[in-house]
Amino acid sequence: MNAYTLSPLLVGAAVAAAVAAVVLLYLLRPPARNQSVSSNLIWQRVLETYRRVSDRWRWWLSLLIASVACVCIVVLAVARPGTDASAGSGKAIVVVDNAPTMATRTSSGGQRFEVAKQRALSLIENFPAATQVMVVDTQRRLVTPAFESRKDAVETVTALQLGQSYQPIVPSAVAFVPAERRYVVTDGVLLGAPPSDFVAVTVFEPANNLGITAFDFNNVPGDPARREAFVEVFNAGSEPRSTEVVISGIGEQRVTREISVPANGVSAQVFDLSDFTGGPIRAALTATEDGYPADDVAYGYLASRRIVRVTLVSGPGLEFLSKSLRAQPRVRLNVISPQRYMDQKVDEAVATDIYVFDRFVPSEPPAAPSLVIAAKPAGWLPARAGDASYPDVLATDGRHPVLRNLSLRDLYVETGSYLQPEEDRSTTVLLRGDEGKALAVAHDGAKRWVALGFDVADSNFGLLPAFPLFLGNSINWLADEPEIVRAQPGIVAVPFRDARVLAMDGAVLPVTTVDERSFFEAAQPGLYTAIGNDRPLRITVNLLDRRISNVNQSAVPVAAAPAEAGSVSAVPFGLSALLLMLAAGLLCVEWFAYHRRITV
Amino acid sequence: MSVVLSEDFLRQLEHLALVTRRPVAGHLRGHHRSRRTGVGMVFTDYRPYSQGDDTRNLDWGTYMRLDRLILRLFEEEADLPIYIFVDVSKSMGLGEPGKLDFARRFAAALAYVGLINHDRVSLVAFSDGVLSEMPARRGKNQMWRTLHFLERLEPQGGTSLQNAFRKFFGARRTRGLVIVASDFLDAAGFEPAFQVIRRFGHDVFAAHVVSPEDREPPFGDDVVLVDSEDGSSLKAHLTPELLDSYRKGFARYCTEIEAFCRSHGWGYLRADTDAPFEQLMMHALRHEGLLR
Repeated sequence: MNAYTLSPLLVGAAVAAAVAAVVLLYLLRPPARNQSVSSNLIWQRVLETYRRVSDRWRWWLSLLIASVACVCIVVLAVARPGTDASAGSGKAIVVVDNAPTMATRTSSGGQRFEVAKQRALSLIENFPAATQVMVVDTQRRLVTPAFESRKDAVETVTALQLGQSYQPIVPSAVAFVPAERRYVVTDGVLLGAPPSDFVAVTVFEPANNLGITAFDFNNVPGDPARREAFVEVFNAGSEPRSTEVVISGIGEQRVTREISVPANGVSAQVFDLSDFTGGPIRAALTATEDGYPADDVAYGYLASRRIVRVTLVSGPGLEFLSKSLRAQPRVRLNVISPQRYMDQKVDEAVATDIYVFDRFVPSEPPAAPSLVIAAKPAGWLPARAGDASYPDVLATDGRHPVLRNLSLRDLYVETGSYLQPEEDRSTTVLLRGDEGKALAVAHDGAKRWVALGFDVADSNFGLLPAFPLFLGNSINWLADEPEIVRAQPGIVAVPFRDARVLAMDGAVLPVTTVDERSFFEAAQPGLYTAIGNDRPLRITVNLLDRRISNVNQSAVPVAAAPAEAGSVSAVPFGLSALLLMLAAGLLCVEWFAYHRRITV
Repeated sequence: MSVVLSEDFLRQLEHLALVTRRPVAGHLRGHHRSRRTGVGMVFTDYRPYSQGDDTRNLDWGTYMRLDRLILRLFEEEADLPIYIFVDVSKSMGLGEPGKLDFARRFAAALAYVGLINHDRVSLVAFSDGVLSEMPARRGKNQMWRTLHFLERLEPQGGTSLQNAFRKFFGARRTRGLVIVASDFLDAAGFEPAFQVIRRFGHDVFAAHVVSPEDREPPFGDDVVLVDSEDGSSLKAHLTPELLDSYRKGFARYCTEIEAFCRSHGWGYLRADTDAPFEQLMMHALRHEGLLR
């Protein structure tokens, strides 16, 4: 046992002084007065049958010892001891879990994080005065933790804020820092079990929570005009609960449904959003007494266009191209010949969202974004850079929307033409052949276009599973639907540099650019918009994770925590209170023994 | 310290006499039965006449019938030797009223009764041995000597009944009535001492002098009990339970003495010093058969 608030020397001195005072008072007690009696004959008989006088003195001695023990216990209790046997005046590491689930409300109305900070402060304040304390958080908000005085450590803990990363960790570097005491103050939900050489101080407390763990949109198969939203609600509590799910869009668009969620179970719901015009969509729960409100809302972005009008300008021959385009969802295909394209009027051109030019290139830029297959030199297309014969094709930029989720390792091109794109930020080489020459180029300008330097018929591209995906990606990109990125709260990466990120309220968020990507911190679920390359990027930030919503799944059981946490505040009443109760018990025994006069 | 007996009380005592249950062996003529035959009023036996016998006691009727000289014997009435033992040990000096004072008055009263009845009264002051002795006295006019003897007694020494009795009765003493006024707080016990008296065939009357302090200790809490006789001490915390045990123990001790006396046909009186003295003498002693 070690006293935290007083140094061992001071505690020892206090105990010695208290013991000396008790012994002195004991010795100064009024002496027994002499009483002359006729004879001790009867008294001796009585005392022999009652109790030996020597026993009385032994009893008095035991009472003195009880008094001394009582005073010592009181002094130790006042010194607020702990039970950490290794406690000394050295170094201590206190890891405070500031993961998002620490925001769960407790029965007292506060957050687990607030309780954790109080526990951490209590730990630190009970360390010996000379202890150097390193405060570490699991979100790395404290970038360079260092040993500091108790006072500074208290300030550090006080200033600590909740983080947004749903992958908290105890920094591995801490494990190599020599320290006599190591504590982790956590709820054990996201952090899991602490390292073995750390003492877990749990702040876990079961809480009711309903959370949205899935939120997505789909077109109804066979009817592109209909769209549905899928919502999954998880109940982390031990009792079935009811809640109202509200899906709202722009304006007055709103769908509401009352649902019941079983205990520790989910309820999957499908909502018809055919009447929604598109744009930002918000799903929310209206459950009361919810312990973790962060997962009560989810955001999505519903595409504005339901039907994409595609015009295939092609001569006879490539039937599979038209079939592949028709197979694309939301595509309404119109096939015309090059001559028909040349003769069409302006109003007809306006009725097309995307052109697909098959082995035909108009001399003038088309009125709509276009996909050019077997591109030939034209004023609005890159110049020809030579013939390609059996080139080794390499996809250059997998992050480009056109190449997303494509595997082109098996692409085999017999003949084609290399393209010579202009080197500017709006043009991206998608495929390269020998000597790095461009085989496919994407242009992100006023009118987007994608140009392939080879004919699909002169390659096995049409036979690859990636071909319809390529068509779909190209149509989506060319249709200029806002690109949607899904992320969780925390640090979110934007796939272009120097992005300008706006929150839902229009606030500009600070952005850090590293290499070709931009990073910003999404503090809470919501819709964010990243603007770069003159085009917006929609970012939906949602929790949508059952591990997060299940705030009652702690790796640090409540029952085990006090024994491990040991010293200070992991138990409802500390060792000081226990010592004081023991002292009170001793006082009662002494009072009973003395005032009840059971002595002789 | 003077021994004060009121005149009325003395007048009442003059009507009383000390009684012994056994035949006495006094040498002088008195009013008590003795085992000797001689001049008396109570016929006891016959025996053949021998030369020198008083011819006045010959049974002439028998001689006429049997032609033999038969002498009639009569129970001789003798005086009563009374030995009054007064305990003057230090323990007798305690108590309020004092036990020694009580014992002096008690002895004076009985001595007065004996003297006026022409019994031989001896007074013995003892503690751990015989301290002083007043030789046998007879007659009312010896009362002043008796009082003078008693007034000179002071508490001293310890208590040894056995030593006192052995020393006193070591000299030849006529069998008589032994009256012991003591608190009987003898570490060696009272039984061996009484056995000494019993061996000589005396009749015994034990006056157990008890002070209120002996009976009901008034003190409490932490005390050092100092023995008034040997100075030994006992440290004790006097709880109510312990005091109650003492009361029971003291009562048991008194009962033991009384039972011993009764078992030998002796008289016993527990004389509480705070009880009315004259009432005690006039009623309790008559009830116990010591006075009539």
